[in-house]
Amino acid sequence: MTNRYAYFQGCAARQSCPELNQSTLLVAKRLGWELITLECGACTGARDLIEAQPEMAMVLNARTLSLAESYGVDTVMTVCSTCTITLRQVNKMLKEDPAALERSNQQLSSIGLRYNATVEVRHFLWVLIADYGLDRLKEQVKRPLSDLSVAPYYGCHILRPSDVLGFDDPNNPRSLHNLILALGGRPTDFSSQADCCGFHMMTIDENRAARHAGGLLVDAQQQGANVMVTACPLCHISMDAWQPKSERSMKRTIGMPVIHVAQLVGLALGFSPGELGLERHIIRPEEIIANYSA
Amino acid sequence: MQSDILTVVVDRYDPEREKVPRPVTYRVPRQEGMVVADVLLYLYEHDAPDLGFLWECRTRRCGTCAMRVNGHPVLTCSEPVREHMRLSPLEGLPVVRDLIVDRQELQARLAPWAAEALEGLPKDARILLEPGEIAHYRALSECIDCFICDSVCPALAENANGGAQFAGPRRLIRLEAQVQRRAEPLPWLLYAAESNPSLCTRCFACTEECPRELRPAEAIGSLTKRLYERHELDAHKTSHISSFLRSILRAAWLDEFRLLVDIYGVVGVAKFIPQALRMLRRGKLPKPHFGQAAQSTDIQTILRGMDKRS
Repeated sequence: MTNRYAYFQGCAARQSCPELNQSTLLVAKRLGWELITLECGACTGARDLIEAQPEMAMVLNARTLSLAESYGVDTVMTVCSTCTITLRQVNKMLKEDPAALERSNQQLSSIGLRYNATVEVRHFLWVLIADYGLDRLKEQVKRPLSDLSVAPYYGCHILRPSDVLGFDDPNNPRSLHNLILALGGRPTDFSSQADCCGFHMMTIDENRAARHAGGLLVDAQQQGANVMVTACPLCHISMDAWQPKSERSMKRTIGMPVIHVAQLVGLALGFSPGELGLERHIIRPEEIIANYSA
Repeated sequence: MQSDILTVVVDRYDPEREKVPRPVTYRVPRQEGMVVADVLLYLYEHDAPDLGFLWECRTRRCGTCAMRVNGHPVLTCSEPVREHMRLSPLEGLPVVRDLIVDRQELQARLAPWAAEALEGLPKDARILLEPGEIAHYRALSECIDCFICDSVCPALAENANGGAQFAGPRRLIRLEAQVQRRAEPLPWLLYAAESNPSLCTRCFACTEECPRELRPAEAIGSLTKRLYERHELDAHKTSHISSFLRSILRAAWLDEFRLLVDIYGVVGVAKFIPQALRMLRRGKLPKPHFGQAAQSTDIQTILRGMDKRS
């Protein structure tokens, strides 16, 4: 099984969630993965460009995919669910529609690129489970997360639509649950684990979005979770950076720490909270920082 | 080994007499090829003659029989039975009794234009569709009003808290169908604009659950594109899209700092100061991008001439 991947950071891990990039690189190195960071790539345009200017989104993302292909890898590894869905949607179209691929390549030829539709786009979580394997990961665990009740928050763009994503069952997702178990933690089921975080309505109606995200956090908390893990930095922004606003909207204290998948894995692999950037969160996971700093 | 007897829990509920639904367990003999609607009819005929549920065509054409099986919305007329089932009404709609929901409020959202849409088109309003377009239009027109898309929509559920109201995927997919068949779609696009498509969370729950596989989320995306191209999309969403494009052309990656300024303006962005300070303290405040990224010339070259906005 290959351990060489083109790494697409996306925008959030470069800016408002730098700890996601930091922890991903640490974990990948520890597990022996070779990551080729696509610094020369570009934002996918998220849901905005693919809706409003779909042809542009197709060509822009075909460029990123062709750059990855030029490195001779077969996987573009993402760490953001919205990047995952957008790149996968474009890649699916390019693989299934020869005319779309031809149009993209006509544009790409002006800068000396060509995409042969050979790469796949896969999230860090999928690579960890499908390529590396949870059994191997268990062997690497230095500090089992036995004191943590972790709420596995999947959100949308890693699950739906399943004909674009397809790794996990949107109605009964298990990948994060299985990962938490492999790391020695306790997954805490909660009813809104596959619900939307509301990020994509945040700049349209911030109160609506904050209230919505707050509802998910309270749900996880009421089921006994002491930390939430998410596979997407945009969900993280919704539920961590905006949590004070959710608290104001709901007129209640929540105080639920939300961490990235790579940070959770990193803790179990023995990295310190500082190395993983856990102190950077708006809702600092104080208990984890205290217990795992020793 | 399949059991001969199915265990079925039904959420019984009479809102006039009970505060919360009451789960009642029934045992139903399994039959070859049985679907959930068969279970309901068996219960009605044997154990629960007062059970409230709806069904009509039994061929996936009417949408009447939609409800949840183990929390998942389905058409009971075609849903195979399983060993343990919990039957509940659709989420997000008021319960009339047991498994029957009140669809009137959501149905009324179509009222202003539904009658108009059903009238014959004047000859000069007709347009010729290519075969591929016909298939797409027919697909969109096959909505069976099962309300499953609306029942799983988180944006529609948020309407209860007031503010701008999202009309829901069901109304928007019908508008997209109308827009596609009109030579002059603007009036229909204006109905779409009033439906606040930007409040859609882009969660794809409607697309995932639609039993006719009509992909309502993609229809909302298509309406967004049409509104954006005609300058009829709301200001926030328009600024959001334009800001993404400007960032990509100049800096390759999204300039998160500039995004907020583009949407809210220099004065409006001041309301985020407390949040910005919290993020600054944690080293998470996005910094504005200055100058051009090394790859921006390439990006500008491949995207040149592709802007479809007039």
